[in-house]
Amino acid sequence: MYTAQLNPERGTNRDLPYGTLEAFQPFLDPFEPPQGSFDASTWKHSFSLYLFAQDKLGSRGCLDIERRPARDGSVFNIDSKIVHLFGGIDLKAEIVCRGDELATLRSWRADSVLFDDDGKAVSTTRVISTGRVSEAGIEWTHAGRKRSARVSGPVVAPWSLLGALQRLPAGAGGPFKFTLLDDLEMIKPAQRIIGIGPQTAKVARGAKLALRCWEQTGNGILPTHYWQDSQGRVLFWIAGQRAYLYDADARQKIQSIEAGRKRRNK
Amino acid sequence: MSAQSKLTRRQFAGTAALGSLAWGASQLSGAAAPTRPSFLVVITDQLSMDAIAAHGCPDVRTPNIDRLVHAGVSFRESYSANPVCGPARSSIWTGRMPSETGVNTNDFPILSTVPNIGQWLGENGYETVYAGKWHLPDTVSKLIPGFTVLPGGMGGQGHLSDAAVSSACQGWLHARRPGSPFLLIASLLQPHDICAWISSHSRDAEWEPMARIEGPLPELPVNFRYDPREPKGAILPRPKWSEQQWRYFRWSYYRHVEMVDAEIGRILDALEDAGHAKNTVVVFTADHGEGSGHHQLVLKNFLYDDAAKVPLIVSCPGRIPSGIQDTAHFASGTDIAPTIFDYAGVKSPPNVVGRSLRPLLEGKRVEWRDFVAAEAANGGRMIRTANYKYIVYPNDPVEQLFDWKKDPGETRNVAGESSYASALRDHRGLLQEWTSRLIVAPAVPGKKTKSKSES
Repeated sequence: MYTAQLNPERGTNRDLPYGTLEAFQPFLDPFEPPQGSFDASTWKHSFSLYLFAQDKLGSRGCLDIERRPARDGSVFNIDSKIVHLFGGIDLKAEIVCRGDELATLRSWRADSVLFDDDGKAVSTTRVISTGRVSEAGIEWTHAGRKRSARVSGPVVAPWSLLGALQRLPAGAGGPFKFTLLDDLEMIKPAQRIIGIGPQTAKVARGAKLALRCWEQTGNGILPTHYWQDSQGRVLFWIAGQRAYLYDADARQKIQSIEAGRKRRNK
Repeated sequence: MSAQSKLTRRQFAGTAALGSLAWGASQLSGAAAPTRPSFLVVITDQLSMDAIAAHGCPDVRTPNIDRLVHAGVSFRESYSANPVCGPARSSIWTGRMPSETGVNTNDFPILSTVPNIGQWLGENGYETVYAGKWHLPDTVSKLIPGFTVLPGGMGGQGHLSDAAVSSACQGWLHARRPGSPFLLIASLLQPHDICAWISSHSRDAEWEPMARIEGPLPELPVNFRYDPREPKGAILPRPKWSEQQWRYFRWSYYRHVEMVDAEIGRILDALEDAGHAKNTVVVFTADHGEGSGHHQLVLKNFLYDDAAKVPLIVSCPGRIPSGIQDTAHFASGTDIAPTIFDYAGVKSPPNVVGRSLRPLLEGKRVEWRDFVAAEAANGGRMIRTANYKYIVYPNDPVEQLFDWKKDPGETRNVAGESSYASALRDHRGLLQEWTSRLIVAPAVPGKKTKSKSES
């Protein structure tokens, strides 16, 4: 097996693990999984965002996802903050989904804005959009201007897909096929998600955690793996270099990082 | 052949100083004309010429880059000035070769005496905005000379930061009201994350999804085999993978390409929806390509076409004809800045070596260069003519010469064959002549500057 370090760019010639549970182990060693039962129809989960390549164990962002049932389906509220080297991006969205097994998209409203190194929103980068999916395809409205695109088959948002996975019966394994609407903006067709069976992870204090794994492949993504606990909760998912890990303190952690940065800038 | 003046090192010092003084007084032909176009430059990182569906790749889906190919002119004989990030970018933003900008390898700044495109257009009435990777020297920077910098971006992490770059550009384009023309640079990182992919696949577990991919994996490239008579001075990263692993690597590379294609679509949509598209020249390129299994190579910093050739597409409705793939003219990353200056009606800064592509874009008959040259971060040099490609690395006796008509895949080094002695001699001469025209930047020991954020 190939092991040499190849990158000729200085400062990046090091092993950059990502993509599997094995590589994710350093993040799981201190992980305290949530306990108790879980209601898959009404929940709020928080996740910390990690980048395998650069940050080792430091958080780069937080993601809150809240689901509640609605008539003929569900509503998801998303609150995401990603911190970059200088500044970062906030995104809030409300997503209305159908009551089908993939929680396919019905409509949404999203508001994103970049913030500077002091945490102040940069108004010229604000994007407020609404959209809906119908039999005719996807329609967006940005700043009063409409745009549409034809798609075939079910259309799914990344965040509501988590909710769908959590509601699938334990024996379900797919494959499920759909079009991904990444960031509620970018069409990535030919997605396929399949159950790839049980796994066991070692978490805090050496405890063994039984997990169920899903694998998503398709246009415009790297193989993405989702791991659920025995209650069906998605505890973490990994796509390329980025991983989200269930973390009730996720927002607090990222706020602390931001506060430190502001202090350094003063 | 382009007319280029031969300047001595002493003359260089003089012209550099003059250039710096002359910024504010640079000439503007047709100054403040209301029809001066705006510019959107979209630059990707590590995107090969042949990794685009509209360029004939059957294994990738790139509807948004394809939009540009169909809307404008795609130069299919386009070469990076130096197939490594920093050096290539220094050329794109200045019109000078990396050996002239002082950026022979990564993590160096452009010489302060060499103006970049933002400084030059900013002095001539353009609003100049930069989003994303800079890498001259820092991968991302809050302060880029000549530009207002939109926030966001992280070094080496396109998977996460490209969405912020495209979102920032999307918001900026929608928020902008008509006024002075603009130069917006959207500098996206993908498909550069393939570097991390390669490193991570030193672990067996990383290859597990390969067995579950639906449908056939991409075929090996036709020039997967290579001639071992190669210069030892080149950095030639060759993993020892099985055929199936190589094919999965190629499959993965194309998924990275699709990621950046999606972000590009977001920016192009915003350009259209916000009403800017009709008067904006869009330039699309990459800093360098990717080995992607050709010659059993990965990454870059070598002078085979896989790393050295890059997409270069220019479009603007009403100004530039659509749907043309130009295989007749050599283009270089150094041509991008002069092309933009030409459309802006701004005279190029002193000593720019690139040429405006505008006459070619507008279908005019013009005497054009009959070879294109490129440098490599390890001191390599390349000359490509219609019939041959010549590559040489410093302190290495092995030269490479490829017969382009018979061997466009660069698989048989004919430099040692007597029937090619004349061609070899000619190309050595071309390289020597070309090198002698460059105003090589003085070496500055210890000049490397790298921020703590990157280290």
